[in-house]
Amino acid sequence: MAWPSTEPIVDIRDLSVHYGLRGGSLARLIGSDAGTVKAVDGINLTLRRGEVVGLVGESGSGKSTLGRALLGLAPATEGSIEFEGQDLADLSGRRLRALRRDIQMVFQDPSAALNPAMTVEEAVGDALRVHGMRSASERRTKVIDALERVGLSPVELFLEKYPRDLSGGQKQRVVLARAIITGPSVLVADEPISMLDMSVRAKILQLMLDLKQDLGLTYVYITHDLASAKFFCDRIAIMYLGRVVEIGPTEEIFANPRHPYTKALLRAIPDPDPGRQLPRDLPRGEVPDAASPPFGCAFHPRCNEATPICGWESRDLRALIEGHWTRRSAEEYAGERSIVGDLDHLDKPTTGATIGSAGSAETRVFLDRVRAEKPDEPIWGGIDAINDVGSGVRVQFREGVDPALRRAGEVQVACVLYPDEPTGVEAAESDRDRPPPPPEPVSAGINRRTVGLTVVGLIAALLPFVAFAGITREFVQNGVLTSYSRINVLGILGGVVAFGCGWALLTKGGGAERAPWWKAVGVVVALLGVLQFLHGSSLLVAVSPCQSERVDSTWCR
Amino acid sequence: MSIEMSNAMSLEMSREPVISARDVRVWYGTTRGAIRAVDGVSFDLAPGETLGLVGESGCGKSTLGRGLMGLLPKGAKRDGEVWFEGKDILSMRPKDSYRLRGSHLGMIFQEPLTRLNPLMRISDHFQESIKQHDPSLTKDEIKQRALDALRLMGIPPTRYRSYPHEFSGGMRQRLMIAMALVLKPSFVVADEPTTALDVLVEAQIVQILNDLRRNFNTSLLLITHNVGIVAEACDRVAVMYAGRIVEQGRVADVFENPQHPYTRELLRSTISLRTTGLNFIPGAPPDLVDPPDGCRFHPRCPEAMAVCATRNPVNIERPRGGRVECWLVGPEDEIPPGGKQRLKQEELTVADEA
Repeated sequence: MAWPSTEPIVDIRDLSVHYGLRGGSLARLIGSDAGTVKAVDGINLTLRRGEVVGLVGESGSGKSTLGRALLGLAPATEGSIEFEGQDLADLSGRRLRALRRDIQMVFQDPSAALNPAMTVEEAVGDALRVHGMRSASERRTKVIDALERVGLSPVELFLEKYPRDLSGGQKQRVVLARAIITGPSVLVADEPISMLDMSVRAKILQLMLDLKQDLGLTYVYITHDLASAKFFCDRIAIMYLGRVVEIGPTEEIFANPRHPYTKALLRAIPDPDPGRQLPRDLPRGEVPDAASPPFGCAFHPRCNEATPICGWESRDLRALIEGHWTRRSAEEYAGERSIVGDLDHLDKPTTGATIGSAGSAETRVFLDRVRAEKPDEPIWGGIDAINDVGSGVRVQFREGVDPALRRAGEVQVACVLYPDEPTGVEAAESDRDRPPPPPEPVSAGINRRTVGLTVVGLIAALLPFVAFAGITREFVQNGVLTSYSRINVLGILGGVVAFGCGWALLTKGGGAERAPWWKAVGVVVALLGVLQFLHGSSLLVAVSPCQSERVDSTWCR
Repeated sequence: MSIEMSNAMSLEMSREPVISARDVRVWYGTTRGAIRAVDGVSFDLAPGETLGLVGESGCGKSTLGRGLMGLLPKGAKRDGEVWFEGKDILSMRPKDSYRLRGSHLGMIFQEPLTRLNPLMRISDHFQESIKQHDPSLTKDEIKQRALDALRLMGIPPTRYRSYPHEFSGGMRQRLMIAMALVLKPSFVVADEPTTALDVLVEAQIVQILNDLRRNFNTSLLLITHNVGIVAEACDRVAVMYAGRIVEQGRVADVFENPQHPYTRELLRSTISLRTTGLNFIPGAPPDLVDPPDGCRFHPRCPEAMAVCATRNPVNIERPRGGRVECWLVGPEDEIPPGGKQRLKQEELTVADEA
C-alpha cells in the first residue's frame, strides 16, 4: 500500500502554537495575564514522502491546530515547519499562499467547506484562479480532470450543481477535487470521514488511498477514530493536550500500545462483534482545561496506571473528594461537607492544598475515610505529608515529573513508566523534561505587544497636551481672575491608559529576557500617565496655581 | 402480520412488554408529496430491555423515536398503534399524552447544550421538571430526588447549583440522562446520545446506558448509527431501512448471523479495529416520496432476485428468533416461478451515492 521513502518532505521542529486568552477589558488595559492556551506545545514530527501519518486524539488535543499550522493557518509561536527546505513559520502571506499549492487541506464538514453560492465548477476552479490561472477554458479542462479523478463522472452532470444538490459523500469528493487540483504533494485531511454516513466512509477512504497512489501524495490524517487510523496510516502520533504522547509505526502502536492514553483509546472503541465484549476499565473524566493544564503529565488525572510522581495537585484532591461524595448518602454528604467546607479554592492549582473547616482531627478522619473507600487510588502515593493547619489540614503533594518523549522499543512514548535512557539523536530532542509548573511561554526578541504598548502609552500620555475636552473652573477674587483650573477628561483618560500600558510593559514587556530596557520604558510611560492624570484632574494646578497673566502658558492648559 | 409478530415476541420474552408498537406510520407533507418516513413499523420492548435502532441517515430512525413520543413537527401525520400501559398513545387526547411525557416516557437528545437553558441553574432545571409532574413535593424533597439521580450519574452534589456552561460535554450528557431518569419513566428514547461526544466520553456514556437496565429497570430505545454501540449496550437490535424495520432480533444472533443483506452490508462497511479491507454499500437510501417497488433495498442489494423488484417481502420469523423481511429467507412458497433469478440491476454510480 505504502512506500514511504526516507526522504523527509515536511520537518516540524519544536513547534508550538499558543493562543493568548483575552481577559476582561480592565484586565487587558492593565495588562494582567489571562493565561495562554497551549494548543500545540513543542512537537517534533517528520513526514516522509509518500507516507500517511495519523494524528489521533480527543478534541482539544491540538491535532487540528497542528494540521492547520502546516498550512500556515495557525501562527507558530515557536519552532519551525520546514517544507522542502523553506521555513513556513516565517513566510510572508504572499509566499505562504504560493506554498499552499503544495500543501492542501481537506476539511471535516464538506457542507461547511463549500460555498453554497458556487457551483462545483466554480468551487473547484477557484483554487486555480487564486493561484493565477486566468484562462477559463484552461481552468475548465483542469476542473474536469480533477472531478474525474475523484470519481465524479459523468462530469457534465456535476459541473453546474450547487452543494445543496449533492449528498455528503459527493460533497466530500468535490472538496477532495478542490484540494488536488493545484497538484499538491502534501494533503492534510482533518477528520475527512467523520461527518459522513457509515455506508460511504469506506468509499471516501478508498478514494483517498487511490489518489495517494496515483498522485504520489503524502497524507496527514487527523482523526479521533483509531479504527480508521489503523487501516489508513503508516505511522500514528497519539496526541493529548498539545503534546505527542506516543508515536510510532501503526502495527506496533496497535500490537503493543504503551502509553496509558493509547490503551484507553483502544479500549474505548466499541466492537461490533458481540462475542468480543470485554469488561472495560475506562479513564474517568474528560480532557482538562487547556488554559491551566494539570501538573506533571497532563493525562495523570484520568490515568489508570498513574504513579506517585505523575504530578498530583489540589484539583486532583477535589475530584477525589467529589467522586467520594457521589457514593455517599445525603446525610453522610451533609456531615462530611460541614467538616471539609468549601472546595472551590482547590481549583487554583497548587501542590499544597489546605482543606477542612471543622478542625484538623476531623478532617484527618474524613481523609482516612475517603482513603479507606479506595485505598488503591494513585493519588495517595503522591501525598508527601499531611500537616495540621488552623482548623484544617494542609496536604502536601510530591513534585511531579513531566515526562518527555522517549524511545521505547520501536516507538517513542512520553510516560514515566517508560524511563528508558534516550540514545543518539533522540537525546538532544528528548532532553526536555520540564519541571512542574510548566514555564511561561517565551517568545524571542521584542514582540509586537511591547511595541504596541509603548506607542499606545506614549500617545495616551501626550495627547492631552494638544487636545482638551473637559470643564474649566475659574477662580475670581475681587472681580479679578486670579487663577483657573481645567479638568481635562482627556487628560484623566489618557493618564489611566498610559499608566496601564506602562504597567503592562513593566510586568510583561519585551521578549524572552524581559530586558530591563523595556522596564525603563514602562516606568517612563507609567509616570507620564500618573502626571497626566494628576494634571488632567487639575490636582497639579491646585498645587501650582497659574496667575491670571499667565493663563495662556502651555503648561497650564 | 402484527398479530403473528406479537405472538412470537411474547414467546421470546415471556414478560408483558412495556411498550408495543404496531404498524406505526409517519408521513411528512411536502410539495412533492408525502414523505413516508416511517412506514409500518412494529416492535415490542420488555421492562429493562434496550433495543438498538440502527440504519443510515434518512432511514426514519429519529422520526420513529419522536413519533413514539408524540414530538413530531406540524405537518406530520402518524398512524398505527403504540400500546403503553394498556392505552394507545397515538389515539390519546393531546392533553393526556402531554401528561405521559416526562413522567412515563422520557427522551435523551443528541446535543445536550442546546437542550439546557443557559440561564438556569441545574437545580432550577430539576425543580422545573419535577414540579411539573409532582406539584405536591417540597423543595427539599425535590432536591433529594435530584441529588440521588445526579449521584447515580457520577455528578457530585457540590455541582447542584452550577450553570450548564460550567460542565464539560460528557457531564452535560450525564445531566440530560439524570433529568430524563429523575421522574423514573418506564420507557426512554435516546436519540444519538453520544454523537457529539469524544471517543472516551462516548464509551463512558455507553457504559452508563448499559448500567441503566440494572439500576432503573427502564426500557430504552437507543437510536444510533454506530453498530459498535448497539453491540455494546443493547439486548436486541432493529435494523431500519427506508422507513421499515428490515430485521430485528437479539444482538448476538443478528450480528453474528445477519439474514438481511442490508444488515450484513451495514456491518461489513463499518470500519472497526479488525477491518482488513474496505467495504461499502453502493448508492443511497431511496427517496421516500416514491420508494422503489417491492423490497426497498433491491436497487442496492448485491443478491437481489427478480421477485424483489416486484413484490413486497414478507415479514417472517428469523431462523434463530426475531423477525426479518427478505425474499432470500423466504417464504419459498410465495415466490412466483422464476422469481429466484438474479435481478438485472441498474449500475449504481457516484451520482447515486450517499
